[in-house]
Amino acid sequence: MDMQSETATLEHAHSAPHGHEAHAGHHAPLSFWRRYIFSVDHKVVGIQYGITALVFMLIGFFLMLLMRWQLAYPGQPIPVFGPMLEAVLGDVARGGRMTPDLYNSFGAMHGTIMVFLAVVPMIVGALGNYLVPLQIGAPDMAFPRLNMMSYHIYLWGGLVMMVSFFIPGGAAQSGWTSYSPLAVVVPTMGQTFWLIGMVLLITSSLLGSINIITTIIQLRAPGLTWMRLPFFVWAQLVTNFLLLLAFPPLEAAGIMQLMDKVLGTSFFMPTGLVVGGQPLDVSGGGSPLLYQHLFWFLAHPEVYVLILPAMGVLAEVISTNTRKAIWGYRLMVYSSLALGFLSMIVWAHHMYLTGMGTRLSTFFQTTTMIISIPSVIIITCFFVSLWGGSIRFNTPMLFALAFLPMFGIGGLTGLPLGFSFSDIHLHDSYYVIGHFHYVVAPGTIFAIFAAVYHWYPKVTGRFMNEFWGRVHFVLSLIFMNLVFFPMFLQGIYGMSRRMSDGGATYAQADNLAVVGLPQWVVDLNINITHAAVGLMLAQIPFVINFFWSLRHSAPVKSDNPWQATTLEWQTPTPPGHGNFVEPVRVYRSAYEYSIPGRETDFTPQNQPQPAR
Amino acid sequence: MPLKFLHIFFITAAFLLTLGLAAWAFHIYLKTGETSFAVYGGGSAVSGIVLFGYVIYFWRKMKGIQ
Amino acid sequence: MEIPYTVTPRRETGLYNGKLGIWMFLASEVMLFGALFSSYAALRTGADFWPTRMMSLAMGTMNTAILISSSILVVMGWTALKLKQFEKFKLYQGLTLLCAIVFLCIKGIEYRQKFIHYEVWLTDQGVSRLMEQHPHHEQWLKSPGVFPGRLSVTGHLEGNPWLLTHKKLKAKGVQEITLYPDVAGGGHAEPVKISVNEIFRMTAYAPAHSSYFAIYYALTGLHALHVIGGIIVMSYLWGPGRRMWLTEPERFTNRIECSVVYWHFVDFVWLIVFPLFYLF
Repeated sequence: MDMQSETATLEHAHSAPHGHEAHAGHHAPLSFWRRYIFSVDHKVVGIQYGITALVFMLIGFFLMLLMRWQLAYPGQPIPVFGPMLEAVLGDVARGGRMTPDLYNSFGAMHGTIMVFLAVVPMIVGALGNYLVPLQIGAPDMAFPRLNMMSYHIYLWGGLVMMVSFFIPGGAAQSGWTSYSPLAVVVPTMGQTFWLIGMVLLITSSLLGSINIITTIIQLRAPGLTWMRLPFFVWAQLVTNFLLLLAFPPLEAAGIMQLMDKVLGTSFFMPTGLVVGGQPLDVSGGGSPLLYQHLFWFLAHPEVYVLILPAMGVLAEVISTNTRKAIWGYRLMVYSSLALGFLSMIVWAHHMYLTGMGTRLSTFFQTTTMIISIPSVIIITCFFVSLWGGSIRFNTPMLFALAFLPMFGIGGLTGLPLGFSFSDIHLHDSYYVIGHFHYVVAPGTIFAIFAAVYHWYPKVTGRFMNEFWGRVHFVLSLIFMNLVFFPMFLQGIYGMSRRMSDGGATYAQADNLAVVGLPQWVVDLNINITHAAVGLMLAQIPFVINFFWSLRHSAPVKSDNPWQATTLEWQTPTPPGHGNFVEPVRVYRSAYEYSIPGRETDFTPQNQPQPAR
Repeated sequence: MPLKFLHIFFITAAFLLTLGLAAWAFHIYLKTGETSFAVYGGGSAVSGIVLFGYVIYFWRKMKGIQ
Repeated sequence: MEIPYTVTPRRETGLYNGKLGIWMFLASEVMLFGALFSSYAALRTGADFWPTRMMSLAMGTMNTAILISSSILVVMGWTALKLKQFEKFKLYQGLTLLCAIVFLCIKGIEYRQKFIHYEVWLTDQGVSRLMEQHPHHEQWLKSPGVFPGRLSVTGHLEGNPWLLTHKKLKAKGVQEITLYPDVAGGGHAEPVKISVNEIFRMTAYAPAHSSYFAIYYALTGLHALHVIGGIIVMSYLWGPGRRMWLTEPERFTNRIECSVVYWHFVDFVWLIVFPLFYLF
């Protein structure tokens, strides 16, 4: 009988127990292309998403490092990479220096890459795809071929965006927000490439979210009722509904902006616009505000897309490593549903400075304040979950623990931004950059690290090296704070974002009492840049650990090395095609840890009788 | 939603459209006196009746099929 | 393990996977077209001037009737399949495809009609010169519309070129154009010669013409792309895909059902687009 596992997970993990599969159906071995490139197995697709997303994250990080050099030492040639940039990009990096145009395009692409090409594909495309079918006891996603297509369309969207760096004029340079009319008026093709890339990415996201939602609703194993689902699955369900419903308006805005750029329409071009001294030769009558509303209608739910799966990861890592159920599971489920719903009605808090009038801004301030409640509830539940737990301070748990105060800082610093009276001072300043980076960087990205360290043994059959994991953690935590905390100060003192000279011009203003920046505010750029370099160095142990551990680290001794209750750990390592060796039946809730009177401190969901 | 009900919803929407078209066309006819609009209104009204008849027929016929 | 509920519905939800999938897809499509309809509302209410009666009511009505018929036909096809009448299904599915293709053809004719129909906004000296030289100019000289304060003439050019603009004229070095102006009630007046220097702006009824046409092409263009998508899927199911009827008839019927649900949505969008552009 052909016992060949048809999954293409990293085959180096030979010493780990293999997944055998004796299922009805043909066993003809698939070609290399069908196994690794065009696989319809959700685990392979998940890994594809994961590797691609991590590569994009490195690229986005690299762009930011180059920008940080410019901010700390405006106008000075970039060491090492300056000549390379000039060789590749030409005049826009002449002398190895970053011109303002290049800075703007790096800035716009850093945001775009991190949000759309790195973080969301990682937490939804990789973690969601890999773990959701396993955690619900399903053999695969509801639509495996659609899954494969959504990965490839994502890849092509990302490649289109990358290609845009190399075309004459370079990549998009109007912020990740791409506001019209600037984005349309800039005479290069970068924005067009960005828009085409976005259409592809949005398509990929829509196909993926249809898949995950259908999978969660339809393919739960017998006995897996809604309230027995791991919180990670609930988080994925809400996240994917947000993606499903919020992305299309941005797609519409993207189509309209593309028409403005390519066909000369005036969806977003106001009448009487003068560019470079010349009245613009368009029909006019359009509305720049319309673009902003459509953009933020997506982009606000998008930030909840960035955070909810991270909270899902946290639930799994914390429960496993405290040997306790998550406190307030039901409360957290309802809070995430509320969060999802509310996130669709707060978007204009990004637009307080557009002159919307007090009645409208009051509405959005109110909803924004209300939405902080479910977020706080979820974080509080996590904190309370720690109480009385038997905490294992392994690397995933360290990242999960650090997430909590970091997200706290990020969330609390969002409050002055949610109120329009304070936002008037802080809007588009470095305070905003500090705020959202705290939530996403030592927030979501820490959750991503936790997820990688936590599930690596299931995917590969080996542990990542614990020592270097801790080094990675400590250094990342320190440097994340050194990079982003000073930005709050810079912002409060009035330093505006997206300034390619780091505010140097304003530090030389004549009357600093009225307008301008204290020199120390601008000098903080240097400290931040040094910390950013430190942060980059801190990732090196992670990258090396990730690849070295594939072959050389300690193999797992069981299929459930963390002794977890959820279903993904009740599979062979790595799971074979079809995931489960026998049909799954679920008997209990997701977090039956440390129940008094039981022999073991955990009872897997699919175990019929608890060990007594 | 079962397809049966979706189809009935759709035909109802189309029916309402024909009613709206007829009303609009007669309104313009009364305002400007162009006979083409009277014809248009009449045609819309007839289409509306046809659609109404169709939806009744469809509803009866689909009683058996799920 | 086979993926469950691809054909048999899950008892809790009453749905098979494909059905839930297509409804989720349609939810996202509602948001997509909803965003465009909202943009229509925003652009129209914010506009000082909004053209009306620019579209051929006859062709629009014909297209509406064709699409409604196609929805009826496609459901008849699905019903035939449920009653195991495969030949009837093939007939109705084929007729549906025919209707869809005719719809696209009519739309194509409408687009072409617009691409050869021009509006020329004149400079002030152009206006005074034309008024002097053409005593009957009030037949075709239009009062300001899309551009406040600018009078314009609409009509056709010799040879009916597509999508010319004043920029293209200047680039080609053209000095003068001969326009056959539209007159109220239809038809053309005597051709009018206009020097390129007298043209403030010239476009066909293309997306760049005005917000009205921009949103018209955006909505109908996106809708037409969805019609094409539907044609592709339904052609596949009518052609090579229909082999599944012999091996897995229930799964095939479900596929048809999903495509019929999609087709109803596409048709429903048109029912909204039609009044927005053809009536008001």
